[in-house]
Amino acid sequence: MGNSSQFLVFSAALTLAGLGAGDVLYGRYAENHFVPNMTLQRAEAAGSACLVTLGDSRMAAGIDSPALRDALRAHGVETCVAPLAVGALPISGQAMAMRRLLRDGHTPQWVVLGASAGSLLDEDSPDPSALVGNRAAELAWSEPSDVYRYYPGFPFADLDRGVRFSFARSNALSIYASATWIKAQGLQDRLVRSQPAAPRTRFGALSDMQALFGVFRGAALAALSRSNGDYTLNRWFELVRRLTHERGAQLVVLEVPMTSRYRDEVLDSAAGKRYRDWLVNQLAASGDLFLDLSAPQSVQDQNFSDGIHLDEAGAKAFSDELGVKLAALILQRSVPHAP
Amino acid sequence: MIFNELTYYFFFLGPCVVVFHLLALVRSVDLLRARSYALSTFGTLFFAYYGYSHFGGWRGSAGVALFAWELFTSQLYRPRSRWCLFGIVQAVLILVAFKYLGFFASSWNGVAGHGALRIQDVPHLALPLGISFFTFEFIHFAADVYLGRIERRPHGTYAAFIFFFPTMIAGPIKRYGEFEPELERARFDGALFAQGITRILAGLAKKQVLADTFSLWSDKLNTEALYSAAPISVAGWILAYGMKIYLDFSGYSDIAIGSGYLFGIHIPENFDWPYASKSITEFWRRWHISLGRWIFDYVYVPLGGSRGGQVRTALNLLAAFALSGLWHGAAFNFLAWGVWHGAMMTAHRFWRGWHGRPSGLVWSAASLLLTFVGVNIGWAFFCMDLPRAWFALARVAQVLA
Amino acid sequence: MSWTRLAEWLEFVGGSRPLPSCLNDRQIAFARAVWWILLFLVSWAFAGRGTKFIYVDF
Repeated sequence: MGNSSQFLVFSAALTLAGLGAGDVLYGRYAENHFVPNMTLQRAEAAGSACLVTLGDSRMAAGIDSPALRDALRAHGVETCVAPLAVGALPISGQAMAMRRLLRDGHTPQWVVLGASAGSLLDEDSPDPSALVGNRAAELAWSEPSDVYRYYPGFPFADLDRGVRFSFARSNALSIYASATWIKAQGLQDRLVRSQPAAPRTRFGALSDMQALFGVFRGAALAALSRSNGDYTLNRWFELVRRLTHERGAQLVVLEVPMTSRYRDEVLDSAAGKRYRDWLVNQLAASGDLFLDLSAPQSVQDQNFSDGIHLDEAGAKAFSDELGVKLAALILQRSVPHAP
Repeated sequence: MIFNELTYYFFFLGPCVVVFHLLALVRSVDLLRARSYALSTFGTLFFAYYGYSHFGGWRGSAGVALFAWELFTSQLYRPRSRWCLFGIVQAVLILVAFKYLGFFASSWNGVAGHGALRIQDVPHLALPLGISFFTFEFIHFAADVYLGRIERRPHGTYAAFIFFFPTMIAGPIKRYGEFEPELERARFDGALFAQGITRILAGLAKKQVLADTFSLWSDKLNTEALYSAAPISVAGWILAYGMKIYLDFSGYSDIAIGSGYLFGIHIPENFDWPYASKSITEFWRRWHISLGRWIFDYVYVPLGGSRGGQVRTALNLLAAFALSGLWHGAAFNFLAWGVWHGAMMTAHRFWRGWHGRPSGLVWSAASLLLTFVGVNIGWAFFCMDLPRAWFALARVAQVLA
Repeated sequence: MSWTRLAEWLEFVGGSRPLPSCLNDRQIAFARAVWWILLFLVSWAFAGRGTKFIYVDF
């Protein structure tokens, strides 16, 4: 091997070693600053035999854990509440969150999974490039075998996406890349002195959140009208069910509060009702419960800060009502609820 | 963008480079033929994969049939053979059919109005990946064989030439007579390999960091902000576009050329500090060099070049650059960009004829500035539709007024 | 530094111009590795410009 080749190998080896070391250091830093991880840690710290709340941002916004715990206690159920809902996570991410919580020996008594029309149905697998932002949790919390859950035909089908997923989940630079992207974008925006930042909510730009109504409605109607009523439950939801049952916990699927417009256009449509009836039967067959709080008495349309997420007052009121309803279910079924 | 995807490096470039160099260790093979087949195979897979994923599913992949047809017909090329002319015509027709049919039909409808002559179903075919580049390579090969400039070697080297995937998407536009000897003498060279990695990484950084930052400014030209912006802002955005397109395109070329270095193959340079040009003629020797050479050799010179007097020369320059503009995009603003550059080239030619080549620091600075301003006026046409471009330039003129 | 020297230097670090062979030693190889790491990381950091993601709580 000539001199130049030797030095090439030296440079390449040093580069790979440097990137490897950087990856490890970046991973350690990012893990401790990644909000979904912090949410998971808080849920773990709440206790071992808690009532776990799972879901996306509608649950993250809509559940006031202290209020829920107090309401349960006031109605005879003494239990801790472990809030595990993470914004932007679909059922795949929620299942992974649940799996992570159970991995360390947690044994929840109750799992309350927030859902809305069609969110538990089978859907197209995401491209790995979509697993950014909070959805990076689906890389951080994934296991190697999840590639088969995401891409059932892998490696004979979806070879490209499966390989990219497997690579993306294997290193911190890929998993947490979007954390740095946000910083870089902010730097570019300041450099270019872009227009002042648009109003933001806890979950993102207000305009994006307001647009979510259309996104959710469109996705829900598409999911409900697919298969002409011949529905299939999402394989990730099946994982939640299996994990819940294995630990002897009770699963409650909660239809989350939505505005009257959403209820009229989606939940109370013919397809929405057909889906709800089908879901109730599916859940009942496996001993799971369904709790419809899409139109809670405690919440009005004006309690939704952006048409999708409950504001603070709405969350507190809803959590009170949810606590009352859950307490009734718990006491009815006489499941041990002491912490 | 394909060059920033891991798939390009892990599925195509990396494995192909490994196979390419490992073949040199196998004593019993015809190395040139084996390497040509390896490049052709990877190039075919590259086109099929990205044609599918980026350019319209199976129809995008099916464009590889165009390459297969070209390989078939090119077998018939001989010096002074009519098959070469057939090859040129078919490549032009392929380009026109995919890229310009819709433009011509829309333009015709603009003239015909809503009457009986209107074309009802304006055709819009999905563009095959890199069509503007590979058709130009087809035309070059047919023309140079016809003129006896290149001798067709066997061993599948023409297939390797057209399927060389690093240059498939956005050039540089290669010449067979330069590529084939490079392919034949390509050897693993540690220093060149390292230079290739540096070039690829530098190209990526140019594109993703610098070009994308400049585009934050230049993108405003195509928003409502243009109509309320101060003249100095509009001028700044046009200058930003000039930087963006240079960094973007040269970054892309860096990645293509760097990829070639990994094979031990030198691809022609495409940019040579174009904004340091002291004349528009010099600019076109430094900007998109491979396109400039192609237009010169296969449009300007066949039209007569500078052999027919000043008026004819001017018309040839305008025609050549008009075609160059249309090559960039099927829209009138690109045509206007091309005509603008043709006009500047003509003006410079006449100026040089009258005044020769002035020297001195003041002249150099003035020439540099004038060239830079002229090029950036052209960018206004390049990045916006005509009404917007006129508005923007009128706005910028207020800075001077 | 003149413009020509600056251009030459930029071409060296950008990979457009080969390094003089007399410089081919361990220090250059080390510097090259550091430069590669920097270029890679800066490209990686700015790769997400075109990606829109909602719900970023970082």
